[in-house]
Amino acid sequence: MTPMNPIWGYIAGGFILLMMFSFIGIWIWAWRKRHKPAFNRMARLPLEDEFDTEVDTKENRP
Amino acid sequence: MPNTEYYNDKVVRQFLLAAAVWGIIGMSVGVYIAAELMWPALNFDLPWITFSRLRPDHTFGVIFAFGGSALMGTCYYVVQRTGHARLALGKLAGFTFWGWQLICVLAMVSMPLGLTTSKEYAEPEWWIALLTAVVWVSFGTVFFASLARRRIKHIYVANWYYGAFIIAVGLLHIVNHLSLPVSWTKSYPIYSGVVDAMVEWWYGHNAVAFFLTAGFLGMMYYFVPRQAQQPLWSYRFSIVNFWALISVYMWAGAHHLMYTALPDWVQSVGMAFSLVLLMPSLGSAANGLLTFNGSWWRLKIDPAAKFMVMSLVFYAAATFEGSMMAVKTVNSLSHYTDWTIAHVHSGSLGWVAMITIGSLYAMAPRALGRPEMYSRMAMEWHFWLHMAGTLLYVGSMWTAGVTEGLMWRATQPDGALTYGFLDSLIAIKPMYLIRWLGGVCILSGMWVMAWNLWYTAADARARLIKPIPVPIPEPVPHQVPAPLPAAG
Amino acid sequence: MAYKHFEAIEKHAGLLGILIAVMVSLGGLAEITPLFMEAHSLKAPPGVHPYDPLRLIGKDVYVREGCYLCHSQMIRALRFETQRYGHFSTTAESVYDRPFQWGSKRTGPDLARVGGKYSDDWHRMHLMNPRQVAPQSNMPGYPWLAHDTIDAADVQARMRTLRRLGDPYTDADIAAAPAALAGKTEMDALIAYLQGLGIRNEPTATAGTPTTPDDAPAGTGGAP
Repeated sequence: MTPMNPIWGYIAGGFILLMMFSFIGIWIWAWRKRHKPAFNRMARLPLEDEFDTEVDTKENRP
Repeated sequence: MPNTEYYNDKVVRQFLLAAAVWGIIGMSVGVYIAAELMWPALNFDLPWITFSRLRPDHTFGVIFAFGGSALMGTCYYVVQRTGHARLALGKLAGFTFWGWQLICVLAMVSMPLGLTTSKEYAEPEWWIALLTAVVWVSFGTVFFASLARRRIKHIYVANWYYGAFIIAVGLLHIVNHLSLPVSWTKSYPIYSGVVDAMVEWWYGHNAVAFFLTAGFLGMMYYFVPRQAQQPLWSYRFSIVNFWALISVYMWAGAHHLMYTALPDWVQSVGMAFSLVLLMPSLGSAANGLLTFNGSWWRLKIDPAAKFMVMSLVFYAAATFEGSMMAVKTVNSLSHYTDWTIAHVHSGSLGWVAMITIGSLYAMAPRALGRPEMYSRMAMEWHFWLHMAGTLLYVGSMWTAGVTEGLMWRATQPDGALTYGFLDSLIAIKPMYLIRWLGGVCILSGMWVMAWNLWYTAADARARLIKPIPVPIPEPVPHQVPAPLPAAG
Repeated sequence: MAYKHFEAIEKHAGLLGILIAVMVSLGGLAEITPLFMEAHSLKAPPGVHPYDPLRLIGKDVYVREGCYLCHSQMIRALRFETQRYGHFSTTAESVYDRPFQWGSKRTGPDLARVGGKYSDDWHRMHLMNPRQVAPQSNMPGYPWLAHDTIDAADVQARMRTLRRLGDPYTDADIAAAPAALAGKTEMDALIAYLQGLGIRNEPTATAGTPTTPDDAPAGTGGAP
C-alpha cells in the first residue's frame, strides 16, 4: 500500500481533540450542583416499579 | 381522569419466552459444535451439521436470537417503566416481535444450508439482512416514539444505552451489508480485500460494543438498581461514562487486524483507543457494583442479584482483558488462538448471559404477574451450573490459547520452528473436552431456567394476568424534586 | 448556556438520538474514510488477476462451507509466521476477494500460501476425510463436494455481478466459462482455488502442478 496522505492524521487528531474537550465539558456539566436534585430523582426511577403500584399514585395525585 | 393507562407487557412476555427458547437452541448448537471439534466424525458427512456450517448458527443464535430477544423485551419493559407511559405503537411493537422471530428462523435455517456472506456475525444473506433492517427500523421507531410520550421529563440513563444500541447497530448493519445480489442464494459485497476487512471488523467490533455492551448496559442500569433496591451509585458518573463509551468504542475496531496488511497507523490508533476504552468500561462496571454497596446481604437471598454481581465482575475482567489483547505484543501471541475464544466467552457467558439471566429473573415475575420466581432453589442451581460452566470453558480455552500461541512461536536454537501445526492441536485436545463439559453445564442451567419460567408463567398461561396500571400523572416535576416514597 | 444546551439533550429523545449517531460515526469515519479514499490507488500487482471461473466457484465453495471459520488467509508480518507459512500477506493480494477471507481463528493452519504445497490427490483425500492423511486432524470431511456439480449459467451470473462491482472480466472471459467448467465438480473447483492461493493468483497457472512459489516457507512448519 502506498503511504497515506498525512492530512488524515491531522483530521483524526482534530476529532480527538474535539472529543477530549467535550469529555471534560460533560464531566464539568455532570458535576454541577444544580443538577444533583434532578439526578437523584432520576436515580430512583427503577425503584418505583414495585409490585404494588398504588404506592406511587396515591400520594402524588394532584 | 382516572388511571386508565396500562403497561404493554404482552410483547415483553413474548420476547421473554423467545429469549428462553433461543437461548437453549443457540447454546445447544454451541455444545454440539464443541463436541465436533473433539470428535470430528460427529458431522456424519452431512453438510448441514458440519462444524463450519453450524458455527454461524451458534453465534447468530446466541447473539441475535437469544441476546436480541432479551434486549428487545427488556428495552420495551424499561422504556415504559422509566417513562411512566405505555409503549407507543402497539401494533408495530407486535410486528417487531414476529418480524424478529421470522428473521431468526430464516437465518438459523438458511446458514446451515450454505447461504452465507462469510462475514462473521453478519452471515445471513442479503434478503434476510434487508428484512432485518426493516424490523430494526421499526424497533427504533417504537422505542423513540415511546420515549417521546414519556411522562418523566428527563430520559433515564438506561434508555440512552438502549438508544445508542439501536442507532449504532442499525448503522453498522446497513453499511456492512452493502452488497450486490447474484441470486437469492448469493451476493457479493461492494467492498473487497482490505477495505472489506476493515468494514467487517468495524462492524464486528462495534457489534460487540453496541449490541453486546451498550444494549446490555442499558439492561444493567435499570435492573441492577432495581434488584439492589437502591438508587444507582452515581447517576452523574453514568452520564460521563455513556458519552465516553459511545464515542471511544468505534475508534478501537482496528485491533482485530493487528500485524495484518492493514496500514500501520490504523492499527496504532486502534490500539491506543482500546486502552482509552478501559476508563468508561471499568467506570460502568464500578458504578454497577457500587450500587450494591450496603445491600450485599441480598446476594445471600437473591440469586438474580448474584447473577448481576458476577456479570459485572466478568464485564470488568473481560474488558480489561480485551484492552490488553489489543496491545500489539500481546496480540501477536493471542491472535488466531483459542485465547480469542476464551475472551469472547468470558464476555458473552460471563457478562452478557449473566446480566441477561439476572434481568430475566428480575423481570419475569413482574411481567408474568407473580410476586417472585416459581423456585428460588432452581435459580440457585442455575447460578452454580452457569458459574461452573463458564469457569471450565474460559479456563480451558485460556490454557489452550496460550499453549497454541507459545507453540506456534517456539523456535530451536538454530532458528527452525520447534512444532508443526498439528502438534499444537494435539496438545490442546484435552482442553477441548473440558470446554465441551463447561458447555454442557451451561446448557443444563438454561434448561433449569426454562423449567422455572414455565411454572412462573402458570398464571400467564391460564390468562389470569391483570395488566399493570401506569402511575399517572408524572408525580413530581423535576425542578422541585421531592423523591417518591421509596419502594420496598 | 452551554450547560442548558446539554440538558436539552437529556430531555429530547430526537436530539439524543442524533447526537448518538454523530458520536458513534466519528470514529468509524476517521478510520474508514481514509481507507476508502486511498483504496482507488490500490492497483492489483502484476500477476494478480480476477479469479478464473473454476477458481471463482472454488472460492465461493470455500465461503459456503465456512472454511474461514478455522483457516485464516493472512500471514502476519512476524518472524515465526513467515517462517511457517511464507512471505507475509500484502494488501494488494486480496483486491479481488469479495468478501475478504482473512479469517480470525486458526483451528487449522493458515492457507494464504497453501497453493502448490500438496498434490491435488492429497487435497482430494484430505477433503474426503482428513484423517486419511492426517490421523490427528479434527477437521470434518467434506465428501459431498465430490459429487456436487457446477451450474455454468450461475457462474456466468456471478462473473457479471462481479464485473458490475469493478472486477475486469471481459465478455470473452464470461463466454468461456461453461467450457472451463465442463465436467468439473465442486471438489475440483475448491482444489483449484486452494492450489492457486499465494502463487500470485494467476488464473493461467496450471492448478495442481506443485510449483514452489518463490516465497515458499523455509523451515519445518509447513505440515498441516
